[in-house]
Amino acid sequence: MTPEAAPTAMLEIEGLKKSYGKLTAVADLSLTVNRGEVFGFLGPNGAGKTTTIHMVCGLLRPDSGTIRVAGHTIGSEYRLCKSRIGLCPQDLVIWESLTCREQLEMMGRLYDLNRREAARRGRMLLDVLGLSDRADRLAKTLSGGMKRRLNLALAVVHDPEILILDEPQAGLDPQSRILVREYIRDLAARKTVVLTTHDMDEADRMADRIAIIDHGRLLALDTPAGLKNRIGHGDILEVELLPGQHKKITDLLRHLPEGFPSPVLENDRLRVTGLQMGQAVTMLFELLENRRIGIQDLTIRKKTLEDVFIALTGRRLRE
Amino acid sequence: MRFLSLLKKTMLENFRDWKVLTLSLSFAPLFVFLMYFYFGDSLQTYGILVINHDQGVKNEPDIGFNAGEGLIARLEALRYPEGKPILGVRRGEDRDEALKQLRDGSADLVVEIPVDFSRILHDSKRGRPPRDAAKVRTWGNFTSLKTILAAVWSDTITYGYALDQAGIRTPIDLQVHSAGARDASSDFDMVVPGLLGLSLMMLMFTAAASIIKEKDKSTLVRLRISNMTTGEWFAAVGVTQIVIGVLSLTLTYLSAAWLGFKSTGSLWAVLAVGVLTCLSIIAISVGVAAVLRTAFDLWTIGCFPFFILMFFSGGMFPLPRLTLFNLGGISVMVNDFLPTTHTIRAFDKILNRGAGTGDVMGEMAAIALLTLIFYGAGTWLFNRRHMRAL
Repeated sequence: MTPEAAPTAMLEIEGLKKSYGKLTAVADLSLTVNRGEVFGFLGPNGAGKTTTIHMVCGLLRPDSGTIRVAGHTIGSEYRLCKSRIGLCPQDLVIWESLTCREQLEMMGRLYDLNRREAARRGRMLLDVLGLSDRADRLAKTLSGGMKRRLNLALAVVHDPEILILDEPQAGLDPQSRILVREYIRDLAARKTVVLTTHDMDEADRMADRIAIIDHGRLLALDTPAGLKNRIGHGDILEVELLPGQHKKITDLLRHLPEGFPSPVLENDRLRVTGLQMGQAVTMLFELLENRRIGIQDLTIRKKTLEDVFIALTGRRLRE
Repeated sequence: MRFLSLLKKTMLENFRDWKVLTLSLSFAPLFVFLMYFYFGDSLQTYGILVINHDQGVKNEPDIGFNAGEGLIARLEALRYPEGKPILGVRRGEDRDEALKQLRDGSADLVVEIPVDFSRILHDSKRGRPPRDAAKVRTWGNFTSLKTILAAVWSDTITYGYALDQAGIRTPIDLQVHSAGARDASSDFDMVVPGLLGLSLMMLMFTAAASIIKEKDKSTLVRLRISNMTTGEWFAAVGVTQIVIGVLSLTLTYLSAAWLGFKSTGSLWAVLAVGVLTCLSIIAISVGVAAVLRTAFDLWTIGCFPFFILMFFSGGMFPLPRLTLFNLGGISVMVNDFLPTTHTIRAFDKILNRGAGTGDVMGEMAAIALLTLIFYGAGTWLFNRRHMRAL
């Protein structure tokens, strides 16, 4: 996206709310997904990602709020939105008793493609997703990874403007994972892609911007780098200490030298975030040795979205 | 065209799911063979045990005349037009033994002819009216239809014979004619309309399964977000089920025909009623699919509406007529709300009483009306529960 071109909104969500009895699934969610963007929804299971997606696709009625797809309001202009959206659900949603070709052509026709175009799109997708040699096999005879790829093909057979992928990499074998990732990257060059995931690496690698949601609330929305910078610049030094030295460690933390980045103690793990980690390592080793604190392991790593999530919620994504 | 795509999909799925299809198509023909096995193609014969105490007449000129034997011969001679005996007459010696056989079901009726049966008839003929009438006694369970029919035949023959032998001419001439299109209908003939109805009721499973499977496998999500309408989908399911229904009806009829059943009416009328009934079963299936969630639910809970159709449409056994209300002089019965009740009535009229399409227009109108009601309610419920979010 060039900086001169004003981003056109492909998906606009304003004040979206959805509750099931006393449980609030989505609480006042507002965000915009720009045309041509890969947008990630990151959150633990039950965060409200799938509920939001179902409302965007018109499968669920929101309690309040507005959703617009390419300027058309879901609800009053739902017919205009349908062909613009492609949904790849988290679960396998395929017709086991139809062949790959039959179901792709059928879905194309259900989106009003003519017979020839539906057949062409079906053939192309089978080819791209490595299913050509299984085109005329019943879906129930495919392997798990192949079924996942067919699941994705069914979502894009009508060439939608916005593709919504709910946990696209879940249940994929390594080979299928690479194929699907490449295909999504290829799509992202031409389409708007919204993906939900609780896989931080996947979100980090693929998304232009990420919304972190938890308990139905938007906690943060930024680029992956922007999100990571929110918890401090630089890398993370993690030192796994030998157990039973809690007193010595708390004493050390009270007497850290001026300018040393403030560490976080989590059980027997000391975490330091900052720039110029090499210098910090030398200094920390010296301090630990002086106080005869034994260490088990030491790691210097880049910050991840998991760190961002922990910083925002105080817990890990998979807890 | 979206409808054609859905039709192709539904056809392929139904015909590839051979287990359910085989069950649906073979269920009613299997019942045809079972019913034939139990009833046979022959007409009903009623078992009568006759104890003849009659000592005959010993004086001139009728020495050796035994009216009891004559009566037994007359009972044995009673036959259906095709020649089969109506009464299966056996002789008994002892009343207690005969009554025991009656109780254990090996006879439908016991007839005991008195010692003086010939004497009284002989004296009456000679102009010497007896002081007491001859006491021909019958025993049976008169709540049993078979006993009643056996007694009707036996009493009629006994009266006729006695009047003949006594030389009494009756002022009436009883003439019995068959009102059906056949001279006589066997029990098997009578159950065939119900079995044809059953062949269509089985559609409830294939039709509801076609719809429920989409929910069970979550593929309904894909259909809902496409441009497809509920009407297009149900139309595709409907056409597929009509094909299966007509196939099932044909197989069931051919099974019955192979076993000797002959329709007395128009087979086109059977087909017309059959197609209309398919629509009504599909309409009921939409309601069933709206309430149930999984294929497992269908094969368990779904059996309940199926059994209601099967047992309360009057196809399996005759039901007492429970009037709900009268409408313009027409009594509306409880089971009139089941479209298959009208189907079986129509099939019976066509197959056993020689009716044509015009003769079953009332039944067809009732099926059509109930189809509209069930379809309207079922679609409303299905849309509300599973389709309409926005």
